[in-house]
Amino acid sequence: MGPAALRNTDVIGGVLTLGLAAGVLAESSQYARGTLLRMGPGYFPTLLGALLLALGAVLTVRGFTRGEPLVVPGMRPLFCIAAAVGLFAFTLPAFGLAPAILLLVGVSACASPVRRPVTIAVLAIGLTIFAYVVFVQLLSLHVDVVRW
Amino acid sequence: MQLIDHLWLGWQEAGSWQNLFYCFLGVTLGNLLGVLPGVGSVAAVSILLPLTYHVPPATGLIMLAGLYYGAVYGAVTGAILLNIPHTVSAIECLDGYPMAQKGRAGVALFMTTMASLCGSLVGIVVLALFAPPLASVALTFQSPEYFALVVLGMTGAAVLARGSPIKSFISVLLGMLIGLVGIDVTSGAERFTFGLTSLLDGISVGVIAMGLFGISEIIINAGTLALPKVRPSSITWRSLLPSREELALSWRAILRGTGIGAGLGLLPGAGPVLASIMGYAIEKQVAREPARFGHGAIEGVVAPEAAANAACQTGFVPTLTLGIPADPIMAVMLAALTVKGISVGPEFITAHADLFWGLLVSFIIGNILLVIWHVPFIGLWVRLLSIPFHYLFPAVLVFMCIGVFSIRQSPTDVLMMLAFGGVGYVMRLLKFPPAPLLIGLVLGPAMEQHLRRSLIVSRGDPTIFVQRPVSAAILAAAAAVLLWTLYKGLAVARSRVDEAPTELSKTNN
Repeated sequence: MGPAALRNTDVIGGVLTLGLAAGVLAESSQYARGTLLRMGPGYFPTLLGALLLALGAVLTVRGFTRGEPLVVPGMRPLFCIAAAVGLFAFTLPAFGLAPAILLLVGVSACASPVRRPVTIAVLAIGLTIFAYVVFVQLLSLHVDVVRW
Repeated sequence: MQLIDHLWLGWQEAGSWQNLFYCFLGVTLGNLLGVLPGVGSVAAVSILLPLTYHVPPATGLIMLAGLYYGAVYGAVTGAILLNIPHTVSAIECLDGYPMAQKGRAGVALFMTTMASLCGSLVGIVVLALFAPPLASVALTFQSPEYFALVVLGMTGAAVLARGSPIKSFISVLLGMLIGLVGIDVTSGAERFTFGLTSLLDGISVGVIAMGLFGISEIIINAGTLALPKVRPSSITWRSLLPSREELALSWRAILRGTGIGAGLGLLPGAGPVLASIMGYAIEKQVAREPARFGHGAIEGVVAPEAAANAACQTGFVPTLTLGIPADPIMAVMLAALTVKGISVGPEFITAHADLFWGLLVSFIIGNILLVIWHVPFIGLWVRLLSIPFHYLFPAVLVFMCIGVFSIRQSPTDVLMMLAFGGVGYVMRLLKFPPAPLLIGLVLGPAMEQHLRRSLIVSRGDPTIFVQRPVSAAILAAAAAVLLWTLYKGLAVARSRVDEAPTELSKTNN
């Protein structure tokens, strides 16, 4: 097994599928299986897990002979967008809508290769006003605009 | 005339000011998001889903449907002018973009609008004629038949998605597993909740769709630089007019595309993407000079567009009468209806006659609105294409985050959306198509229910599915689709020379 096989989308996807299938089978073994006549809550998930296991195995094996190499793009967009959305989820209940949107726009804008602070600031303020009008005024979403 | 009575009933529903406004809003926003680069149509519908949670079912459905066919209309603009392959319109890039390079962009845009209108109107007629009789046939269906239909729908979704069929099936299974999360309705047992109370009711399809499509598409596209610019001035009124030769070539192609699309849309699991690909393939078959294709043949632009739009409308036949969504967007719509307590199935048309005929009339209104948007205001959409993506995606993110939050006032849902964004990102990197996941998610619970019920009826005898003729026929169709894919898969493996068409797999789904 060379390093090339490890960077193959089929092999990685197949191994992930096998792992998931194992997890599903382990978890569903804790539910009542039942019989074909009276299926318990565990019957169907076990079936799905078994199918996943089979498909995962085929995919992994096939990956060694064919399959495309994995191309990992820059991590910057992933990191910025994840941080922006995560921050939004924590800021909104704690500090209100306006700070949450300003942070969301500011942090997510870092994902782009084009970053101009002034335009981002204008965009953030504009979107905050827009969201206030649409969601708070028109759709009457109950949320504090700013909370201290 | 019963049909006229029905249309009148529909007009009373669709013609209210509120519904007219939401129809307008739906097609306009759908078109807008369809045109904009970097946001696919599944993402577009998911992003705007929260807007419908605050309105009555009919209004919400009218708007969602408007988003759906509006996005199909809009996507072709980007394909022709900038070579952006959106899911539905990917095939139009092949000849639409060369047409634009030859200075015939205006003609391509105008003729696709006409093709869309023709396809949609015929599709609406088919919907009005076929849905009620199919619903009465479907009334005799029982669990084994529904189980078979669900199997066919899932097989279709997996086989038709771009990329490896094995990966598509894994994607369907993943969706089915996510659909199991929560309380099992039959036994009351908790499954895959891992002790988290927020998972007891399951995970909302809207949250999953927004993460899987919206967030992950933004992550993929945010790092890319601006697209090539189009000059809005190059699309003038005069440039929209086709030459006599172009007209002569187009109208037959439009009719053929419409027929193919209307027929394919009726099959559960087929949907507009397949219709547009088939529309293109058939034009290439019947053309006198197939060599023109790929170099700006107008038939190769209008036929897929007519087919996609016809399939879009007739796709509502299996969705509304059988509850089997034709494509992932329909799956999202079905989920939105379920949230509102409306179950779709054979009883839908009689039990909610106002809703069904109202929706149908709104399709007619919406399509006329789209033509008005497209022909006189074409310059506006062309200008929209020049908005750089780095201004666009923060705005889309704001909309999605507040939208998801507003469903249940829950920051946990926002984090859940982010988690599914991560899942979608990994799936895209590993070349797993995310669209089949949505079909599995929506159909999975139905599959389990019908499997259980069928086996109770048959006293545990699994041959019930082949003993009943209708379910046996449907399962045979699913098996045929599967075998055909395997055969085709082998053929592709044998001669991996033809790499050109797979270039299109770099689309959103």
